[in-house]
Amino acid sequence: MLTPDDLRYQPSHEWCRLEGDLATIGITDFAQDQLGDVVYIELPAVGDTVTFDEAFGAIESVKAASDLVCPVSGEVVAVNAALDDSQEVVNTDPFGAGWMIQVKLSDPSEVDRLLDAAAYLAVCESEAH
Amino acid sequence: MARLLLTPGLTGALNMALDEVHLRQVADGEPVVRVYTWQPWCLTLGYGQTSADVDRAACAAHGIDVTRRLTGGRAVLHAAELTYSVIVGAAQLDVGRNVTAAYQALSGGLAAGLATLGLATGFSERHRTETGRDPACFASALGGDLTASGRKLVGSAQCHKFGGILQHGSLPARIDEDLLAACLNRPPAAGRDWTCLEELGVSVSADQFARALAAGFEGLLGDLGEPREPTPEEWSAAAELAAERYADQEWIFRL
Repeated sequence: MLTPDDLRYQPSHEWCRLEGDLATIGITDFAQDQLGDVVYIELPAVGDTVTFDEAFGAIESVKAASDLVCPVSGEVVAVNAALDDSQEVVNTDPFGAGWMIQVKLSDPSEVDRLLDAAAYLAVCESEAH
Repeated sequence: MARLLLTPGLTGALNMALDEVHLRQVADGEPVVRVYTWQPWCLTLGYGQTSADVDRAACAAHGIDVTRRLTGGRAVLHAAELTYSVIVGAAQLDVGRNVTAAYQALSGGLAAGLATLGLATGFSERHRTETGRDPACFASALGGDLTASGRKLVGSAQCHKFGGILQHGSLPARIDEDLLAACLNRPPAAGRDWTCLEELGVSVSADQFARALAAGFEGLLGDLGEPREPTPEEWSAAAELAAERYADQEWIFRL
């Protein structure tokens, strides 16, 4: 299971890559493995506002639909349109081509509430047992 | 205290709306187990399933409603069957994002209930697709579905939302493969991987199924009491939600 050190994490298994005031967001390797084959993803549109710790979309795997929980607040500035036709990328490359949205942060201090890789790994290990 | 609900035959829109009403309140409320049927019969699509899988004219010609579920999975023709839903707070189940673990926890109660009716079932443990893109739920046994004699008996689907987990599913008395094929825009399946109560020589009423589930879920949810109806407030909220979403043709056929 991968938990890259350069990312921050939500306990609900979304990751966030920070570059200046932009955050790129997706779901983790642990999450995609637990969900199983992803078959449908519902994402916000560019220009929409998303809120820390609230649903920003939905993800459906073979047998379950779940909320996607946003690790930051701000305005959506990019959406990964490639996921419309190739949702499986979330399973095969969750930290790369499987990214979901990019958000311009409205409150950068929220990032301090996210987990680092070590703390997130501990969450995964507790859930795996 | 968890509740055991038994509702009469309802439209697909109202059945799906009632499940959502219970899911929306479960994080701060009580778990619910409900047994229900469909009047008229209804084809439900999975939350993200394309409506191109449905032959709307054929459904209309056969008097079959179409709606969309809040849960994932593939299409189900709800005809001669008993349907159940079990709705619990995510914190109570404590399985995080692990869909397989959630199925095992909830399908464990379901299997225990079916055992009281003399139905021995096993779990399908696959949670990766291996059956291509057949749009029908009963075409394959996956992720915690219950099998009898190695064939799928109960098809179930989940939604993790609003701080709760909803699992609902179908226990078919019989399956009309030709009617399913007509509704789904595809030829009848060449082989089959499912079974049904009639084939197993078992007859179960809705009341018997409800009481069996109460026994099966007692370990997880405690005493569910006697079967009862939803509250007037829940009926009212469900009617509103049905009108605005589950009976809204634009929402149902948006994908």
